[in-house]
Amino acid sequence: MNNYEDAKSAARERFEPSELAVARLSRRAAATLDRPRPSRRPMYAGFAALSVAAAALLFALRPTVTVSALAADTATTMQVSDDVALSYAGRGEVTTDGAHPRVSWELGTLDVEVTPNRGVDLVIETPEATVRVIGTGFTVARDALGSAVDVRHGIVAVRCGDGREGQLTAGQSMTCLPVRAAGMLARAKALAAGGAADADVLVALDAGLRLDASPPVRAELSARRIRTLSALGRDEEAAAAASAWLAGDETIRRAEVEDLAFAVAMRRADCATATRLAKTEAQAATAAACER
Amino acid sequence: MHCLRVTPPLPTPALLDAAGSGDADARQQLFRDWAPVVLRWCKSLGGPKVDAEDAAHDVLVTALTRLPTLREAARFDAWMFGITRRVLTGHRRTAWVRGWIPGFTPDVPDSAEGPNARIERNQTGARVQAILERLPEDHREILVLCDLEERSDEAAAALLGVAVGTAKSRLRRARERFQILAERSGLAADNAPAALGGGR
Repeated sequence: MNNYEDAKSAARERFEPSELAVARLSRRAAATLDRPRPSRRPMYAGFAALSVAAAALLFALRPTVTVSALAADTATTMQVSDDVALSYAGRGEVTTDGAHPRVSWELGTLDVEVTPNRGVDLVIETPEATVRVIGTGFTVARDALGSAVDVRHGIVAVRCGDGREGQLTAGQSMTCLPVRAAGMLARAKALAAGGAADADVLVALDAGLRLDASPPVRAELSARRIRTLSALGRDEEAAAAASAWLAGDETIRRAEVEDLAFAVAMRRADCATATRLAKTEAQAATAAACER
Repeated sequence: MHCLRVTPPLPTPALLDAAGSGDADARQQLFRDWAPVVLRWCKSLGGPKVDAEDAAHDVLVTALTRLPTLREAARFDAWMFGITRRVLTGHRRTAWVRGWIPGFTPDVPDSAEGPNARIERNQTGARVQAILERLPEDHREILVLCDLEERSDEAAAALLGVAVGTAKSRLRRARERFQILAERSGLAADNAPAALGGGR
Protein backbone atom coordinates (compact mmCIF):
# COMPACT_ATOMS: atom_id res chain seq x y z
CA MET A 1 0.00 0.00 0.00
CA ASN A 2 1.47 3.39 -0.86
CA ASN A 3 1.40 6.57 1.19
CA TYR A 4 -1.43 8.08 -0.80
CA GLU A 5 -3.68 5.13 -0.21
CA ASP A 6 -2.73 5.30 3.47
CA ALA A 7 -3.49 9.01 3.52
CA LYS A 8 -6.85 8.54 1.80
CA SER A 9 -7.77 5.76 4.13
CA ALA A 10 -6.69 7.72 7.22
CA ALA A 11 -8.56 10.83 6.07
CA ARG A 12 -11.72 8.86 5.37
CA GLU A 13 -11.53 7.28 8.79
CA ARG A 14 -11.00 10.67 10.38
CA PHE A 15 -13.93 12.32 8.63
CA GLU A 16 -16.30 9.37 8.98
CA PRO A 17 -18.86 10.38 11.61
CA SER A 18 -19.58 7.95 14.42
CA GLU A 19 -23.03 6.39 14.75
CA LEU A 20 -23.36 8.25 18.01
CA ALA A 21 -22.66 11.62 16.42
CA VAL A 22 -25.12 10.95 13.61
CA ALA A 23 -27.82 9.86 16.04
CA ARG A 24 -27.19 12.91 18.21
CA LEU A 25 -27.28 15.21 15.19
CA SER A 26 -30.54 13.72 13.88
CA ARG A 27 -32.22 14.04 17.26
CA ARG A 28 -31.05 17.62 17.66
CA ALA A 29 -32.18 18.66 14.17
CA ALA A 30 -35.55 16.98 14.67
CA ALA A 31 -36.00 18.78 17.99
CA THR A 32 -35.19 22.13 16.36
CA LEU A 33 -37.66 21.50 13.55
CA ASP A 34 -40.38 20.47 15.99
CA ARG A 35 -39.98 23.65 18.01
CA PRO A 36 -42.76 26.12 17.12
CA ARG A 37 -41.51 29.03 15.04
CA PRO A 38 -42.88 32.58 15.37
CA SER A 39 -44.92 33.98 12.49
CA ARG A 40 -43.18 36.32 10.07
CA ARG A 41 -45.63 39.17 9.74
CA PRO A 42 -43.96 42.26 8.31
CA MET A 43 -45.11 44.50 11.15
CA TYR A 44 -42.83 42.54 13.42
CA ALA A 45 -39.83 42.76 11.12
CA GLY A 46 -38.11 45.48 13.11
CA PHE A 47 -38.73 43.70 16.35
CA ALA A 48 -37.47 40.48 14.84
CA ALA A 49 -34.29 42.17 13.65
CA LEU A 50 -33.66 43.49 17.15
CA SER A 51 -34.36 40.06 18.59
CA VAL A 52 -31.93 38.45 16.19
CA ALA A 53 -29.25 40.96 17.11
CA ALA A 54 -29.87 40.38 20.83
CA ALA A 55 -29.90 36.62 20.35
CA ALA A 56 -26.64 36.79 18.39
CA LEU A 57 -25.06 38.77 21.21
CA LEU A 58 -26.34 36.35 23.82
CA PHE A 59 -25.19 33.41 21.69
CA ALA A 60 -21.73 34.88 21.37
CA LEU A 61 -21.51 35.51 25.10
CA ARG A 62 -23.20 32.30 26.23
CA PRO A 63 -21.52 30.25 28.95
CA THR A 64 -18.95 27.83 27.64
CA VAL A 65 -20.17 24.27 27.54
CA THR A 66 -17.66 21.81 28.92
CA VAL A 67 -17.03 18.60 27.02
CA SER A 68 -14.91 15.98 28.78
CA ALA A 69 -13.77 12.72 27.27
CA LEU A 70 -14.30 9.55 29.25
CA ALA A 71 -11.82 6.86 28.29
CA ALA A 72 -10.43 4.24 30.63
CA ASP A 73 -9.65 0.54 30.49
CA THR A 74 -10.13 0.08 34.21
CA ALA A 75 -12.83 1.45 36.51
CA THR A 76 -12.38 5.19 36.92
CA THR A 77 -14.47 7.65 38.88
CA MET A 78 -15.48 11.15 37.85
CA GLN A 79 -17.47 13.63 39.92
CA VAL A 80 -19.44 15.61 37.32
CA SER A 81 -21.05 17.86 39.95
CA ASP A 82 -21.92 17.74 43.64
CA ASP A 83 -24.91 15.55 42.80
CA VAL A 84 -23.65 13.40 39.91
CA ALA A 85 -20.88 10.81 40.08
CA LEU A 86 -19.80 8.53 37.25
CA SER A 87 -17.74 5.37 37.47
CA TYR A 88 -16.75 3.92 34.13
CA ALA A 89 -14.60 1.49 32.20
CA GLY A 90 -14.92 2.18 28.48
CA ARG A 91 -15.35 5.32 26.45
CA GLY A 92 -17.78 8.16 25.91
CA GLU A 93 -18.04 11.84 26.69
CA VAL A 94 -19.87 14.06 29.15
CA THR A 95 -21.19 17.49 28.20
CA THR A 96 -22.40 19.89 30.85
CA ASP A 97 -23.37 23.52 31.16
CA GLY A 98 -23.73 23.09 34.89
CA ALA A 99 -27.36 22.08 35.28
CA HIS A 100 -28.02 19.51 32.56
CA PRO A 101 -25.26 16.93 32.18
CA ARG A 102 -25.45 14.79 29.06
CA VAL A 103 -23.40 11.62 28.75
CA SER A 104 -22.85 10.03 25.33
CA TRP A 105 -21.71 6.49 25.99
CA GLU A 106 -20.04 4.51 23.20
CA LEU A 107 -18.69 1.31 24.67
CA GLY A 108 -18.18 -0.37 28.03
CA THR A 109 -19.78 -0.03 31.44
CA LEU A 110 -20.94 3.25 32.96
CA ASP A 111 -22.13 3.39 36.54
CA VAL A 112 -24.12 6.43 37.61
CA GLU A 113 -25.05 7.83 41.02
CA VAL A 114 -27.36 10.84 41.22
CA THR A 115 -28.42 12.42 44.50
CA PRO A 116 -32.23 12.22 44.66
CA ASN A 117 -34.49 15.27 44.94
CA ARG A 118 -31.84 17.80 43.92
CA GLY A 119 -33.38 18.72 40.55
CA VAL A 120 -30.61 17.12 38.52
CA ASP A 121 -31.66 16.45 34.91
CA LEU A 122 -29.21 13.86 33.63
CA VAL A 123 -29.50 12.07 30.29
CA ILE A 124 -27.39 9.13 29.14
CA GLU A 125 -27.41 8.40 25.41
CA THR A 126 -26.11 5.37 23.55
CA PRO A 127 -26.78 4.63 19.87
CA GLU A 128 -29.64 2.38 20.95
CA ALA A 129 -31.01 4.00 24.08
CA THR A 130 -31.81 7.24 25.87
CA VAL A 131 -31.98 7.04 29.67
CA ARG A 132 -33.34 9.98 31.68
CA VAL A 133 -32.66 10.24 35.37
CA ILE A 134 -34.05 12.26 38.22
CA GLY A 135 -32.35 10.68 41.21
CA THR A 136 -31.09 7.14 41.25
CA GLY A 137 -28.24 4.70 40.88
CA PHE A 138 -27.93 2.54 37.80
CA THR A 139 -25.55 1.05 35.25
CA VAL A 140 -25.49 1.35 31.46
CA ALA A 141 -23.40 -1.30 29.73
CA ARG A 142 -22.90 -1.12 25.98
CA ASP A 143 -21.35 -3.93 23.99
CA ALA A 144 -22.03 -5.81 20.79
CA LEU A 145 -25.22 -7.22 22.25
CA GLY A 146 -26.78 -3.76 22.69
CA SER A 147 -27.22 -1.35 25.58
CA ALA A 148 -28.27 -2.85 28.91
CA VAL A 149 -29.62 -0.71 31.75
CA ASP A 150 -29.66 -2.10 35.31
CA VAL A 151 -31.25 -0.06 38.10
CA ARG A 152 -30.02 -0.35 41.69
CA HIS A 153 -32.35 2.17 43.29
CA GLY A 154 -34.72 4.91 42.19
CA ILE A 155 -36.50 5.09 38.84
CA VAL A 156 -35.18 5.67 35.32
CA ALA A 157 -37.02 6.13 32.04
CA VAL A 158 -35.54 4.22 29.11
CA ARG A 159 -36.34 4.75 25.45
CA CYS A 160 -34.84 2.35 22.91
CA GLY A 161 -34.02 3.27 19.33
CA ASP A 162 -36.49 0.63 18.12
CA GLY A 163 -39.37 2.42 19.86
CA ARG A 164 -39.61 0.33 23.02
CA GLU A 165 -39.70 2.35 26.21
CA GLY A 166 -40.39 1.83 29.86
CA GLN A 167 -39.74 2.88 33.42
CA LEU A 168 -37.41 0.72 35.44
CA THR A 169 -37.40 0.51 39.21
CA ALA A 170 -34.86 -1.00 41.58
CA GLY A 171 -33.72 -4.46 40.52
CA GLN A 172 -35.13 -4.19 37.01
CA SER A 173 -33.13 -4.20 33.79
CA MET A 174 -33.76 -3.64 30.11
CA THR A 175 -31.65 -4.19 27.00
CA CYS A 176 -32.01 -1.99 23.92
CA LEU A 177 -31.07 -3.94 20.81
CA PRO A 178 -28.92 -2.54 18.00
CA VAL A 179 -30.88 -0.44 15.54
CA ARG A 180 -28.68 -1.04 12.50
CA ALA A 181 -28.14 -4.19 10.49
CA ALA A 182 -24.39 -4.10 11.16
CA GLY A 183 -25.16 -3.83 14.88
CA MET A 184 -27.46 -6.84 14.69
CA LEU A 185 -24.73 -8.76 12.89
CA ALA A 186 -22.33 -7.87 15.72
CA ARG A 187 -24.96 -9.00 18.23
CA ALA A 188 -25.39 -12.32 16.43
CA LYS A 189 -21.61 -12.85 16.39
CA ALA A 190 -21.37 -11.97 20.09
CA LEU A 191 -24.21 -14.34 20.93
CA ALA A 192 -22.57 -17.16 18.98
CA ALA A 193 -19.18 -16.48 20.55
CA GLY A 194 -20.79 -16.43 23.98
CA GLY A 195 -22.31 -19.86 23.47
CA ALA A 196 -25.92 -18.69 23.10
CA ALA A 197 -28.47 -21.07 21.66
CA ASP A 198 -28.56 -21.20 17.86
CA ALA A 199 -32.22 -20.21 18.01
CA ASP A 200 -31.28 -16.93 19.74
CA VAL A 201 -28.56 -16.28 17.18
CA LEU A 202 -31.11 -16.88 14.43
CA VAL A 203 -33.47 -14.29 15.97
CA ALA A 204 -30.71 -11.67 15.82
CA LEU A 205 -29.81 -12.58 12.23
CA ASP A 206 -33.43 -12.40 11.10
CA ALA A 207 -33.82 -9.05 12.87
CA GLY A 208 -30.73 -7.75 11.07
CA LEU A 209 -32.06 -8.88 7.70
CA ARG A 210 -35.27 -6.94 8.33
CA LEU A 211 -33.25 -3.69 8.61
CA ASP A 212 -31.66 -1.68 5.82
CA ALA A 213 -28.25 -3.24 5.23
CA SER A 214 -25.36 -2.62 2.89
CA PRO A 215 -24.68 -5.52 0.49
CA PRO A 216 -21.67 -6.89 2.42
CA VAL A 217 -23.57 -6.84 5.72
CA ARG A 218 -26.62 -8.45 4.12
CA ALA A 219 -24.40 -11.15 2.59
CA GLU A 220 -22.77 -11.85 5.93
CA LEU A 221 -26.11 -11.97 7.75
CA SER A 222 -27.54 -14.31 5.11
CA ALA A 223 -24.53 -16.62 5.10
CA ARG A 224 -24.61 -16.89 8.90
CA ARG A 225 -28.34 -17.50 8.79
CA ILE A 226 -27.82 -20.44 6.43
CA ARG A 227 -25.17 -21.87 8.71
CA THR A 228 -27.38 -21.41 11.78
CA LEU A 229 -30.40 -23.00 10.10
CA SER A 230 -28.18 -25.93 9.15
CA ALA A 231 -26.94 -26.22 12.75
CA LEU A 232 -30.54 -26.25 13.95
CA GLY A 233 -31.29 -29.14 11.59
CA ARG A 234 -33.71 -27.02 9.57
CA ASP A 235 -32.27 -28.35 6.34
CA GLU A 236 -35.23 -27.50 4.11
CA GLU A 237 -35.01 -23.83 5.04
CA ALA A 238 -31.21 -23.89 4.89
CA ALA A 239 -31.28 -25.39 1.40
CA ALA A 240 -33.82 -22.84 0.16
CA ALA A 241 -31.86 -19.94 1.69
CA ALA A 242 -28.59 -21.23 0.26
CA SER A 243 -30.13 -21.67 -3.17
CA ALA A 244 -31.45 -18.09 -3.11
CA TRP A 245 -28.09 -16.79 -1.87
CA LEU A 246 -26.11 -18.60 -4.55
CA ALA A 247 -28.46 -17.29 -7.24
CA GLY A 248 -27.20 -13.79 -6.42
CA ASP A 249 -23.84 -12.36 -7.45
CA GLU A 250 -22.42 -11.81 -3.97
CA THR A 251 -18.83 -13.03 -3.75
CA ILE A 252 -18.16 -12.58 -0.03
CA ARG A 253 -18.49 -15.98 1.72
CA ARG A 254 -19.55 -17.69 -1.51
CA ALA A 255 -17.19 -20.64 -1.02
CA GLU A 256 -18.49 -21.15 2.51
CA VAL A 257 -22.11 -21.04 1.39
CA GLU A 258 -21.37 -23.48 -1.42
CA ASP A 259 -19.83 -25.90 1.08
CA LEU A 260 -22.82 -25.50 3.39
CA ALA A 261 -25.25 -26.03 0.54
CA PHE A 262 -23.36 -29.18 -0.48
CA ALA A 263 -23.44 -30.56 3.07
CA VAL A 264 -27.14 -29.79 3.42
CA ALA A 265 -27.89 -31.40 0.04
CA MET A 266 -26.05 -34.55 1.11
CA ARG A 267 -27.93 -34.70 4.41
CA ARG A 268 -31.19 -34.39 2.51
CA ALA A 269 -30.00 -37.07 0.05
CA ASP A 270 -30.53 -34.52 -2.72
CA CYS A 271 -27.84 -36.16 -4.84
CA ALA A 272 -28.50 -34.14 -8.01
CA THR A 273 -28.02 -30.83 -6.17
CA ALA A 274 -24.95 -32.20 -4.39
CA THR A 275 -23.44 -33.21 -7.72
CA ARG A 276 -24.10 -29.76 -9.14
CA LEU A 277 -22.57 -28.06 -6.10
CA ALA A 278 -19.50 -30.33 -5.78
CA LYS A 279 -16.34 -28.23 -6.17
CA THR A 280 -13.63 -30.57 -4.92
CA GLU A 281 -12.69 -34.08 -5.91
CA ALA A 282 -13.76 -35.36 -2.51
CA GLN A 283 -17.15 -33.68 -2.86
CA ALA A 284 -17.53 -35.03 -6.40
CA ALA A 285 -16.73 -38.54 -5.18
CA THR A 286 -19.22 -38.24 -2.31
CA ALA A 287 -21.91 -36.94 -4.68
CA ALA A 288 -21.19 -39.72 -7.18
CA ALA A 289 -21.53 -42.34 -4.44
CA CYS A 290 -24.83 -40.73 -3.49
CA GLU A 291 -26.05 -40.91 -7.09
CA ARG A 292 -25.20 -44.66 -7.18
CA MET B 1 -12.30 4.52 -9.70
CA HIS B 2 -15.55 6.27 -10.50
CA CYS B 3 -18.22 5.35 -8.05
CA LEU B 4 -20.33 7.10 -5.44
CA ARG B 5 -18.92 5.02 -2.64
CA VAL B 6 -20.24 7.10 0.22
CA THR B 7 -23.40 8.70 -1.14
CA PRO B 8 -26.84 7.30 -0.43
CA PRO B 9 -29.41 7.00 -3.20
CA LEU B 10 -31.25 10.21 -4.06
CA PRO B 11 -34.56 10.55 -2.24
CA THR B 12 -37.69 10.06 -4.29
CA PRO B 13 -39.97 13.06 -4.98
CA ALA B 14 -42.62 11.37 -2.82
CA LEU B 15 -40.23 11.12 0.13
CA LEU B 16 -39.22 14.76 -0.28
CA ASP B 17 -42.85 15.86 -0.47
CA ALA B 18 -43.67 13.90 2.67
CA ALA B 19 -40.64 15.23 4.56
CA GLY B 20 -41.44 18.78 3.44
CA SER B 21 -44.99 18.34 4.74
CA GLY B 22 -43.70 17.42 8.16
CA ASP B 23 -44.06 13.63 7.97
CA ALA B 24 -41.86 12.39 10.82
CA ASP B 25 -41.03 9.03 9.22
CA ALA B 26 -40.00 10.65 5.94
CA ARG B 27 -37.88 13.14 7.83
CA GLN B 28 -36.20 10.35 9.77
CA GLN B 29 -35.49 8.52 6.51
CA LEU B 30 -33.85 11.64 5.09
CA PHE B 31 -31.82 12.10 8.26
CA ARG B 32 -30.78 8.44 8.26
CA ASP B 33 -29.49 8.72 4.69
CA TRP B 34 -28.13 12.25 4.64
CA ALA B 35 -27.06 13.20 8.17
CA PRO B 36 -23.85 11.11 7.83
CA VAL B 37 -23.07 12.69 4.45
CA VAL B 38 -23.66 16.24 5.67
CA LEU B 39 -21.68 15.66 8.85
CA ARG B 40 -18.81 14.20 6.81
CA TRP B 41 -18.84 17.25 4.52
CA CYS B 42 -18.83 19.60 7.51
CA LYS B 43 -15.93 17.74 9.12
CA SER B 44 -13.83 17.61 5.97
CA LEU B 45 -14.67 21.04 4.54
CA GLY B 46 -15.40 23.14 7.62
CA GLY B 47 -11.89 24.03 8.64
CA PRO B 48 -10.31 24.23 12.07
CA LYS B 49 -12.61 26.78 13.70
CA VAL B 50 -15.96 25.30 12.73
CA ASP B 51 -17.87 22.95 15.01
CA ALA B 52 -18.88 20.34 12.43
CA GLU B 53 -21.87 19.06 14.35
CA ASP B 54 -23.28 22.57 14.88
CA ALA B 55 -22.86 23.31 11.19
CA ALA B 56 -24.42 19.99 10.14
CA HIS B 57 -27.37 20.71 12.40
CA ASP B 58 -27.92 24.05 10.67
CA VAL B 59 -27.62 22.41 7.24
CA LEU B 60 -30.27 19.81 8.05
CA VAL B 61 -32.64 22.34 9.60
CA THR B 62 -32.21 24.73 6.66
CA ALA B 63 -32.71 21.94 4.14
CA LEU B 64 -35.85 20.59 5.79
CA THR B 65 -37.28 24.09 6.16
CA ARG B 66 -36.60 24.93 2.52
CA LEU B 67 -37.55 21.61 0.96
CA PRO B 68 -40.56 23.16 -0.81
CA THR B 69 -38.15 25.38 -2.77
CA LEU B 70 -36.26 22.40 -4.22
CA ARG B 71 -37.18 22.27 -7.90
CA GLU B 72 -35.57 19.02 -9.05
CA ALA B 73 -35.43 15.98 -6.80
CA ALA B 74 -32.73 14.61 -9.10
CA ARG B 75 -30.44 17.42 -8.00
CA PHE B 76 -31.05 16.93 -4.28
CA ASP B 77 -27.38 16.13 -3.61
CA ALA B 78 -26.16 19.30 -5.34
CA TRP B 79 -28.80 21.31 -3.50
CA MET B 80 -27.65 19.86 -0.15
CA PHE B 81 -24.05 20.53 -1.01
CA GLY B 82 -24.91 24.16 -1.85
CA ILE B 83 -26.62 24.60 1.50
CA THR B 84 -23.64 23.02 3.25
CA ARG B 85 -21.26 25.45 1.56
CA ARG B 86 -23.35 28.47 2.54
CA VAL B 87 -23.78 27.30 6.14
CA LEU B 88 -20.06 26.59 6.49
CA THR B 89 -19.26 30.06 5.14
CA GLY B 90 -21.56 31.54 7.79
CA HIS B 91 -20.02 29.45 10.56
CA ARG B 92 -16.50 30.44 9.53
CA ARG B 93 -17.54 34.08 9.61
CA THR B 94 -19.12 33.67 13.05
CA ALA B 95 -15.99 31.93 14.34
CA TRP B 96 -13.86 34.80 13.00
CA VAL B 97 -16.09 37.43 14.66
CA ARG B 98 -16.09 35.57 17.95
CA GLY B 99 -12.31 35.50 17.87
CA TRP B 100 -12.37 39.29 18.25
CA ILE B 101 -14.71 39.36 21.28
CA PRO B 102 -12.55 40.01 24.35
CA GLY B 103 -12.69 37.22 26.89
CA PHE B 104 -14.69 34.90 24.69
CA THR B 105 -13.48 31.33 24.67
CA PRO B 106 -13.77 29.89 21.20
CA ASP B 107 -15.51 26.56 20.78
CA VAL B 108 -13.33 23.51 20.80
CA PRO B 109 -13.33 22.51 17.13
CA ASP B 110 -13.41 18.80 17.86
CA SER B 111 -16.29 18.92 20.31
CA ALA B 112 -18.53 17.20 17.78
CA GLU B 113 -16.23 14.23 17.52
CA GLY B 114 -16.03 11.26 19.79
CA PRO B 115 -13.20 10.79 22.23
CA ASN B 116 -11.45 8.49 19.80
CA ALA B 117 -10.87 11.33 17.40
CA ARG B 118 -9.59 13.62 20.13
CA ILE B 119 -7.08 11.07 21.25
CA GLU B 120 -5.42 11.41 17.83
CA ARG B 121 -4.91 7.74 17.33
CA ASN B 122 -4.40 8.33 13.67
CA GLN B 123 -1.60 10.77 13.10
CA THR B 124 -1.78 10.41 9.34
CA GLY B 125 -5.44 11.42 9.31
CA ALA B 126 -4.68 14.47 11.44
CA ARG B 127 -1.88 15.53 9.11
CA VAL B 128 -4.01 15.07 6.00
CA GLN B 129 -6.72 17.17 7.64
CA ALA B 130 -4.19 19.87 8.51
CA ILE B 131 -3.01 19.99 4.90
CA LEU B 132 -6.56 20.12 3.56
CA GLU B 133 -7.29 23.03 5.89
CA ARG B 134 -4.39 24.97 4.39
CA LEU B 135 -5.75 24.62 0.88
CA PRO B 136 -8.08 27.18 -0.72
CA GLU B 137 -11.73 26.26 -0.30
CA ASP B 138 -12.30 25.28 -3.94
CA HIS B 139 -9.28 22.97 -3.89
CA ARG B 140 -10.37 21.39 -0.62
CA GLU B 141 -13.84 20.77 -2.03
CA ILE B 142 -12.68 19.09 -5.21
CA LEU B 143 -10.19 16.86 -3.34
CA VAL B 144 -12.82 15.77 -0.83
CA LEU B 145 -15.43 15.06 -3.51
CA CYS B 146 -13.16 13.32 -6.02
CA ASP B 147 -10.41 11.69 -3.99
CA LEU B 148 -11.94 11.00 -0.59
CA GLU B 149 -15.53 10.36 -1.70
CA GLU B 150 -14.45 8.88 -5.04
CA ARG B 151 -16.93 10.75 -7.19
CA SER B 152 -16.39 11.01 -10.90
CA ASP B 153 -15.29 14.34 -12.33
CA GLU B 154 -18.77 14.72 -13.80
CA ALA B 155 -20.53 14.09 -10.49
CA ALA B 156 -18.24 16.49 -8.64
CA ALA B 157 -18.77 19.14 -11.31
CA ALA B 158 -22.53 18.76 -10.92
CA LEU B 159 -22.30 19.21 -7.15
CA LEU B 160 -20.06 22.24 -7.46
CA GLY B 161 -22.08 23.77 -10.28
CA VAL B 162 -19.10 24.10 -12.61
CA ALA B 163 -18.21 22.70 -16.03
CA VAL B 164 -16.57 19.28 -16.12
CA GLY B 165 -13.44 20.79 -17.67
CA THR B 166 -13.24 23.28 -14.81
CA ALA B 167 -13.58 20.50 -12.26
CA LYS B 168 -10.81 18.49 -13.95
CA SER B 169 -8.36 21.36 -14.09
CA ARG B 170 -9.24 22.40 -10.53
CA LEU B 171 -8.64 18.83 -9.37
CA ARG B 172 -5.27 18.74 -11.10
CA ARG B 173 -4.18 22.00 -9.47
CA ALA B 174 -5.52 20.91 -6.09
CA ARG B 175 -3.56 17.67 -6.27
CA GLU B 176 -0.39 19.51 -7.21
CA ARG B 177 -0.84 21.88 -4.31
CA PHE B 178 -1.65 19.08 -1.91
CA GLN B 179 1.47 17.27 -3.08
CA ILE B 180 3.65 20.28 -2.37
CA LEU B 181 2.22 20.72 1.13
CA ALA B 182 2.36 16.98 1.79
CA GLU B 183 6.03 16.85 0.85
CA ARG B 184 6.79 19.85 3.04
CA SER B 185 5.11 18.13 5.97
CA GLY B 186 6.93 14.87 5.25
CA LEU B 187 3.71 13.04 4.56
CA ALA B 188 4.46 12.03 1.01
CA ALA B 189 8.16 12.51 0.61
CA ASP B 190 8.90 9.11 -0.86
CA ASN B 191 6.05 8.74 -3.30
CA ALA B 192 5.41 9.99 -6.78
CA PRO B 193 1.84 10.72 -7.82
CA ALA B 194 0.26 13.96 -7.11
CA ALA B 195 -2.31 13.73 -4.39
CA LEU B 196 -4.68 11.83 -2.22
CA GLY B 197 -6.16 10.05 -5.17
CA GLY B 198 -3.04 9.93 -7.22
CA GLY B 199 -3.58 7.64 -10.06
CA ARG B 200 -6.91 8.34 -11.68
